[in-house]
Amino acid sequence: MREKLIEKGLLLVAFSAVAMIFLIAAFIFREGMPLMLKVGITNFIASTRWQPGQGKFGILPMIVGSLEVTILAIVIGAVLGLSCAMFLAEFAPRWSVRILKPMIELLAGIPSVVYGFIGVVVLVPWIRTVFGGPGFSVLAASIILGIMILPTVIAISLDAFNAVPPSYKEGSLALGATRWQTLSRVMIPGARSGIIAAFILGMGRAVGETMAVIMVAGNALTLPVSVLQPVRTLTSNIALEMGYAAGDHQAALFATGVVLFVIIVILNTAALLITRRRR
Amino acid sequence: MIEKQGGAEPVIRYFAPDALVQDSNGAVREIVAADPAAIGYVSYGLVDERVRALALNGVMPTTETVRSGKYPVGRRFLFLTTGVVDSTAGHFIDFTLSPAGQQALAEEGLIRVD
Repeated sequence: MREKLIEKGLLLVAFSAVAMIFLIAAFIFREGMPLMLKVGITNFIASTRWQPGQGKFGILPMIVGSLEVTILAIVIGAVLGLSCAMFLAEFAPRWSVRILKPMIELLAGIPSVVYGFIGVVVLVPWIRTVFGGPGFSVLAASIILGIMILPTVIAISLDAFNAVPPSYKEGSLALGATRWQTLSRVMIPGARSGIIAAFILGMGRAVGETMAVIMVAGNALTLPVSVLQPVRTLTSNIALEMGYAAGDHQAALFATGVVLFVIIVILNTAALLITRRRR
Repeated sequence: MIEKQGGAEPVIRYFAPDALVQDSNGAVREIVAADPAAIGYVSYGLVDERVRALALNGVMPTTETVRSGKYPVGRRFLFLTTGVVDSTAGHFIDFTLSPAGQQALAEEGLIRVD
């Protein structure tokens, strides 16, 4: 009897988490869809003019901006994170793993304002003096995000490396392959689905991050052509304007949330499909 | 958006789309203080020794020029209620408009209305 009660209780809790997601989705769609239909979905996502005061709601620059920042961030995070995971999985002596792993996990606990602040004080002036432009740019946001997603990328790809059966590695080494050959020809293909999942989860984090991006991206409304130009992401647009938006303007911010929601669902579905197919 | 009551019809101008946008007056001031090429747009009360206020149409922003409307870009703070002002809210509005309240606002860099 008690057993049953606990079982049912846990089931209820598990479903309430799912219910929460549906409630959030239903809410943002209810608030955002009417405006999207009013201005036209194509117009909303393909027009470049965002002038809420004049009834102009075009978020193309922000969609492009979000994608640019995210892709560049995942490239930076993938190169650094995968290198780090390879080192930890194959080359690092045990004592250094015991120091490095907790340190990397600590990186995940640093609040995003702190990353943003370091970006404003150190990175932005550096980009301004070295490359020119205002410094607040796609590049600044991508570098900060690339560092922020490192813990996710490292932890998940490290798990993937550790999940490769030891016999593969031993077999490869026994056949006379060097450690690097073993890593690049056996371990990476073996851990492939996990590594791709790591990148996609990192990407999900990068798309959703708001605070640090607002601080270093400059938030201008133009379509960013160069990485040195300022950019406004979808999340930044919502966070910047929600405070003083009303009526159609507020609905347009919810509609921005709808677009963001769809992008994230697409990313997560891709992650699921890729990890499932490779297994 | 700046509305200028120039001629018979109001002239409406917009911020350039490639202008940087920050989420607070303080952040704008930090950028201007750090970047030699920057021009920013902040509340008068936030101008300090690290940044310099500029004249518009030859008029420098001072308490007097903003108050008289000679300085072209000033904005008012508004109290909004649902129409029924209860006693607590009413007292607060009275206090804000009293000499003591106005003095406190002036010390924060805002401009008196009395």
